[in-house]
Amino acid sequence: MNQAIDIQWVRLTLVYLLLIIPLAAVLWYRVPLMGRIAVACARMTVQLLFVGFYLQIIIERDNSWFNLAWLIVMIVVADVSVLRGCGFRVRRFWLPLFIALAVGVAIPLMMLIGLALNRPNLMEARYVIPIAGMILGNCLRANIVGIGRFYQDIRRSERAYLHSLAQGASLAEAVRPFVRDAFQAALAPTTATMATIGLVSLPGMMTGVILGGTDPSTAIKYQIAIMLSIFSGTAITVFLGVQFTMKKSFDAYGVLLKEIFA
Amino acid sequence: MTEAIEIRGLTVQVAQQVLFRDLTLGVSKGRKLLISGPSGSGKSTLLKCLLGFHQPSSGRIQIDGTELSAATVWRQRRSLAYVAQEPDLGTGTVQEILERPYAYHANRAMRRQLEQVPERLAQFHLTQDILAKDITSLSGGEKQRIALISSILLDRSICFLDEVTSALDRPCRQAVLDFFLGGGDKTVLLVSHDPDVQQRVDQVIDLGSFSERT
Repeated sequence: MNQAIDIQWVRLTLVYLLLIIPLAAVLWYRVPLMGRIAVACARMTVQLLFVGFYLQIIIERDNSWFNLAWLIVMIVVADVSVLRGCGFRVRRFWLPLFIALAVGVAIPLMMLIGLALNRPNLMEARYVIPIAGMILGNCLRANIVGIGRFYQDIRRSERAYLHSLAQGASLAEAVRPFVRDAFQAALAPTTATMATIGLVSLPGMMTGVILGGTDPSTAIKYQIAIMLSIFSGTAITVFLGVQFTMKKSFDAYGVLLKEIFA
Repeated sequence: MTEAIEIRGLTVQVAQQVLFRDLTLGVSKGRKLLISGPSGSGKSTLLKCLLGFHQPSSGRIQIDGTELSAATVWRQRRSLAYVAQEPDLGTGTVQEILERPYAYHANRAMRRQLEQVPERLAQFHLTQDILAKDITSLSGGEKQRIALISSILLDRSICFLDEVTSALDRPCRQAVLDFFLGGGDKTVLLVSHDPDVQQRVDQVIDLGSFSERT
């Protein structure tokens, strides 16, 4: 199949005309989103230009240490974004959540690049950076939902939680229903996506691979591998995220510390 | 003889406000103690301190001769029962709520206590069809009685009861007071504004007299 057709910069600029109709609707109904949409579009453009430029360099040089450093930067950004998204104090949780995210991303990355793609170098830029980005992007959303919900639910249902402790529950036993609910909330979107993929939506990665000139039959193999990686990464990071942050969230008597919230 | 509860020089504050200062108190095994005092004097907070849910600014608490600490509280809670003023028992049916504590390692060996459920329901004027109901569909009084039954089934030697008759009608209130204050070897500390309670307890402590407020 052919290589992807490049988009000329002038023509890409014309694609921004697609914003006219949604912005007109926003103005007409006075939806208070105009500023945020403008900032989001500007950020998306600048960030992608920067990442495109950076990725070009990183893929051309393909230095494993550079790639590892970039991966760590991605995990740190995801780490801070999750903690801010959950309304937690970043200083308290950044390390346990960083470890959870690192482990949760490393396991599917090794499976995918080392086993499925059978690449000798796990840190090969053209694989590790985009695949880690996709896994981390999904982990970020899932962790905000899962870990955020876990602590918010315990805070909201504090009397029920303390009632369990008063009835002789250990910390692990008292938090179990909250872990279960958090896990369910975090995994439900990815589960629903897996169940409908190909029927309701053609995922971005598969579309990108096809546009890049690859056979759809190869594209679906990539997509299956990436969906399983995302699901596994999401589950691992949420599970470890809850387990690791818990050690800094309760006092020695089992009471949730209020100071974890920003 | 070892006191069931021994409190020495306890000072408790919440959000910079001292609720009571230098409280010293002993409750012998089997005794029934009423904790009285005006609103905000720290009655409920005292019970929470005894369960390790609130840390006092200073002072010591001993339960059955053992100092309450982070190391001992997990074991000590196995001898305590606590029923809150507005109990939140979690989610699920009443049957599930009553069975839940026996899934905890500490209570697993006591599962046979559930055989008493029909008898306890009748004792507190509840019918068996309540077992299938979702806890959220119950009235305040029904929830209070289910919380009490759950604590009774666990058969703890020391009971902390916080306004547990506030949502009950007279016959139910009588049944609850008969169980907890009608003799027996349980040590009971209760917070209540019920005038009947004062007549039936062995000791009364007025937390207001330990308050700094004028």
